Amino acid sequence: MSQQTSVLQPATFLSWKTLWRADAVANLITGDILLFATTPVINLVGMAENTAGLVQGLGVLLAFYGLWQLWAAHSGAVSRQSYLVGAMVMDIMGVALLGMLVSGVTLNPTGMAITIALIAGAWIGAVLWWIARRQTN
Amino acid sequence: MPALLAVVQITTYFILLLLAAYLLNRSGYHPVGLSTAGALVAFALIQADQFFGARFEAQADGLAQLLWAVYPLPVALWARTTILLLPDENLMIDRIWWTLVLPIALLLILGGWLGCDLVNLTTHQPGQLYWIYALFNIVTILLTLWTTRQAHRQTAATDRTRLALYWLQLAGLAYGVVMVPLAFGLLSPAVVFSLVVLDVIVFGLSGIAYNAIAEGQSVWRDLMATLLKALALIGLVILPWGVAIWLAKVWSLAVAGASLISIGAIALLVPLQDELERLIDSILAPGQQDEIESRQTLRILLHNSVQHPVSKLTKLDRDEFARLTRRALSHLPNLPRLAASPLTELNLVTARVNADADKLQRAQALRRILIEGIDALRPAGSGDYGTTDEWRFFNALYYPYVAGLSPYQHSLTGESLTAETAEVTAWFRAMVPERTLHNWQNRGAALIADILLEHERLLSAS
Repeated sequence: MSQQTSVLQPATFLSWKTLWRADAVANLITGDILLFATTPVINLVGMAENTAGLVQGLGVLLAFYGLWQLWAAHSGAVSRQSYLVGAMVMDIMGVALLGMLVSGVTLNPTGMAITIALIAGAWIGAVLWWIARRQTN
Repeated sequence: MPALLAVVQITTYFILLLLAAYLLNRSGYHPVGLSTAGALVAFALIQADQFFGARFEAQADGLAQLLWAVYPLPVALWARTTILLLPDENLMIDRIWWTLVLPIALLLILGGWLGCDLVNLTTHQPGQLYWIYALFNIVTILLTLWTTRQAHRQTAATDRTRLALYWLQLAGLAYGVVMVPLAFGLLSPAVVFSLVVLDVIVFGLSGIAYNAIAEGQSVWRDLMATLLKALALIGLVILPWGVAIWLAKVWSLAVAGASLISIGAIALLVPLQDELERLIDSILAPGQQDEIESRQTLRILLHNSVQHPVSKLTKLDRDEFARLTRRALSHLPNLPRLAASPLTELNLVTARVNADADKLQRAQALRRILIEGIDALRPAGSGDYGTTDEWRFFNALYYPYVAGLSPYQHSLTGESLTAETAEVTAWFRAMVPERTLHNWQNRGAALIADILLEHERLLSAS
């Protein structure tokens, strides 16, 4: 373990790991809100009542992703492979949300703004994890 | 029946808070003590919530919403206690707790606060949180059972902590056994309630017993004295008010809340009296550190009678002696706590002090001996400091206990550190998970214990 000290850069590791953990907490909280406060969320974004299952499903996925992120960041540094998976998940999430937007799901202006912000956030996240992966090399 | 239930709930609330505060005071905020006490406090607050819910229903909704925060905690903290009791490093189980058990408990709390119910109070049907909460409880208690079993199996048959672990295991098993049928509605809630209360009390008592054995101290007389003091205060303070309220037939949420706060305050403050006095001492006599330390030593010694006479110390099981050394090392920064260690009775200590030396002087001599022991772990000819493998036991004991460094504390910044401590702190944070540090401290302490035991036997033989 200590032999790695000279090769890796603990300060860089800690910054990325802190960001990774913060993202995990944000994903967990968002997932929890989608799962347990589905009706207020649907009302806020102006989606149809019958999309509750979809919102809850997204909540479960986000919560599991957040838990996995915490798991991956528990000891030492986050591995390159975890950053890669993180970047891919963010990419897919951005694409899925964009798909939802263009497929004509009913959304009010607030819902539209939130979805666009989420797409941007997901792709920014993907870029960040790619950079983190490169720096962990 | 409702009145009897209320009495049982309030009594349980009082006993659990008392046990929690007693453990906190005894253990000196040791991680095992903290998690066990946390579980007991959480369970006590659940009792309070049940009491308010049964008596005041919708009136107590706001309070119930607030107290929902403690519902997932007892079982999560119970699991933490058993993980900390594992003698050997198990990073996987530690990781499971930090990254699954704790976050899921927090998610459940948030879920409750977002408006989801455990049970729908109108229809008495399971709410949205019910099955997730039930599954969380059952899976976590299974994990707890597995870890307690491992801790029990890895402890030598001659080690006296094994008995405390056995009771801990039994309490966990009983908790699990009643939780499964409860989740499926197969057992009466009253039966489950009684068994769970009994389980949690056994859990608290086992935690206290484990702590006392690990410190080499006896506990029951002091625990009974604390209980009697608290009961006397309840009789003097709460009973007259209770009778007056009963006669006046004034019973409201505010009166019930005030009564429970008073009972809780007595349960917490009687065992934590030493801490309160220490706080008052530090306010009234801020500059007189020596006097404050002497007074604290007297209080600690009064409550922690040493169990092992010196003749028996060298005959202890190796693991038990190593545990006493480990605890003494963790008390290095706290001289009054160190004074209560049975190791102050060693001949090695006697050889270093005058014949009329008091406990504090013996503790100081023991501190010097232990620091020499830590120094013996420093790799020869490798410079002043380092972070390679050969330095790990020295670093794990020296920096937290001798240099007073808390490496994982976020307020510790580069500006306030020397080059040496900055490098070591960065190494701890990036490369050494807390559980690994704990494990290295245990292994380093075992090495020092071997050295101490060898020297003590030589001295006793000469």
